[in-house]
Amino acid sequence: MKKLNRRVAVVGAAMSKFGINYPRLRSIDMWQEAWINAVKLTDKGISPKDIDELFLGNFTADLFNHQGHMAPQMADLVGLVPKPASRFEGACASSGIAFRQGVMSIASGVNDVVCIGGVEQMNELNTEGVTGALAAAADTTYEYFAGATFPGLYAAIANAHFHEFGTTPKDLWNIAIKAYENGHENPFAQEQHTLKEIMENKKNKAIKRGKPVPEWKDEYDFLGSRSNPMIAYPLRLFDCSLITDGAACVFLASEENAYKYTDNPIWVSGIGQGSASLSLHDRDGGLLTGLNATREAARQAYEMSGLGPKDIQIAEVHDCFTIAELAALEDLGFYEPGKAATAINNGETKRDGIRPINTSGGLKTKGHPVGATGVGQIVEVFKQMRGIAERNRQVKKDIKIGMSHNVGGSGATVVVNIFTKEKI
Amino acid sequence: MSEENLVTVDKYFNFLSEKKLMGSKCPKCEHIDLPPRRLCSKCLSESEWIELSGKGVLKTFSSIYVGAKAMTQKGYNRKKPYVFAVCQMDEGCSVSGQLIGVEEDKPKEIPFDMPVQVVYLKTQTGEDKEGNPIYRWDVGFEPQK
Ligand SMILES: [Zn+2]
Repeated sequence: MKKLNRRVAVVGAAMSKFGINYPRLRSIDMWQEAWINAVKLTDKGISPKDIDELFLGNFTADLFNHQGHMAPQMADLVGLVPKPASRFEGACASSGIAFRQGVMSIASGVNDVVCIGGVEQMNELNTEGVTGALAAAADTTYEYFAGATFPGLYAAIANAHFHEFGTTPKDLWNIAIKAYENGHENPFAQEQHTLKEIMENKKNKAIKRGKPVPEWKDEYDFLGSRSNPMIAYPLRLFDCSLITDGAACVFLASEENAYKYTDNPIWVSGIGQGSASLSLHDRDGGLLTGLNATREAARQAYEMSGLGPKDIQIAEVHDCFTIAELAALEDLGFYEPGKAATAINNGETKRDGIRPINTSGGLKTKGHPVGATGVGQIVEVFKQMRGIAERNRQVKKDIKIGMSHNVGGSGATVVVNIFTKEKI
Repeated sequence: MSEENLVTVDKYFNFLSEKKLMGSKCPKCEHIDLPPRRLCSKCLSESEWIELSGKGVLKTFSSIYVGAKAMTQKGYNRKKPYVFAVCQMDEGCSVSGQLIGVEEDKPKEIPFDMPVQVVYLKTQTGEDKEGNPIYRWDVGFEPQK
């Protein structure tokens, strides 16, 4: 893996509020909100005339909203026409791919300053419709008619992990509980209640309706109860991420240009992208307890940056399901395969732990507007490294090195980025 | 390679409809792919059809309670889950399929590495002009007897 030909920095990054925004807000509205917020978080401001190109991530507005050809539409809304504008598709890694292409366009010398966007409006369809659209990210020819669903594919990974390493549902619930604690501190998150608050609300509802009031000892008791229905064994409802509308926006500049926009650029010091068979059954080496493409993307990013897993202080990892976070921690090299669960149980991935993971709440509570997710993760890493994360979410120590990890589908596309405060 | 022997998706599904499990075999490195591939997944040589034993083992699975539409239209639901499985065939290749003949709502009792054999399962995908159902055939599995 070669180095970038010149340094590239994140100079501004922000997102729209993630949530069930449709019909109040559509892609057009959320994208403009993300842009406005990103301009605000660019210290010295930035103007469309400074920007050479738009790289937009969107999975499938074609299926969600009957809208293709989205990049010029979004470019026009923020004054970027007639400059080049292109859309990138890699399922849930769409804007992760867009980001990497934007970085390389600056490194190559073709562009000096670019805008990376991500946008998805999912709630226009009902749950069945969303499930059907998302299924297009799996292998329609060989998996769909075998009964595969996204929860089902990750459940098969979870089941294999349980079988091989003795992982338990409780190990996964610890990941969910942390996600709710973090989402509670994120004003941009879709779900800002803690799990305890959600349990209280359910009790109060039962009282109001004159129904028997459920008694749960604690969160684990609740998560193991009928109130947390099985979706695809061993994954239950609270193991799954959310159906979300949202947009995110990042500005990148070359080293020569970065200081026009901020005195504190965050450097993109390593990028990597991996691929794997679309079908789970065809994975190289028959790996079913993790993702080869994560291992490959991480290898590239580590090699380019000269850093290793031990150097990473915080990471936003792709937790479309609780098991996906567990597997990511192992595939990224933070823990040996089969060892992440113990570390999570010891609190190592909490905000005050040795390596906080998904301080934003992750896809689980911040939300998962699929095509905006990759850039949304970079927004959180940017905020944490700048020390501007809202509410009580800011990690107390100075974060010099952060990572984002974005997965498409059941792991056929993965993007990993390493960010540093210092030039490497 | 003559058109007649070419490894294509359509022929694979046609074989399944005749209840024949056909993979592809590489004449150079002898690797077998299922689903079949025109180009060997190991060395990219042009593969040839080979009939497989239809026997293998269960590598992983999930009992699915909120199913794909193709499955809910067959009557599967929260109360009646189905099993999505990945099985490795004796020839070394792996493929996805529905696992039948097990207690779907007791997933903890379905053993990993259980010997399975292929069954052929049909799904209605539409109707012809006369209103007759059109089916597609897929690989499924059941425990070996
Ligand atoms: Zn070969």
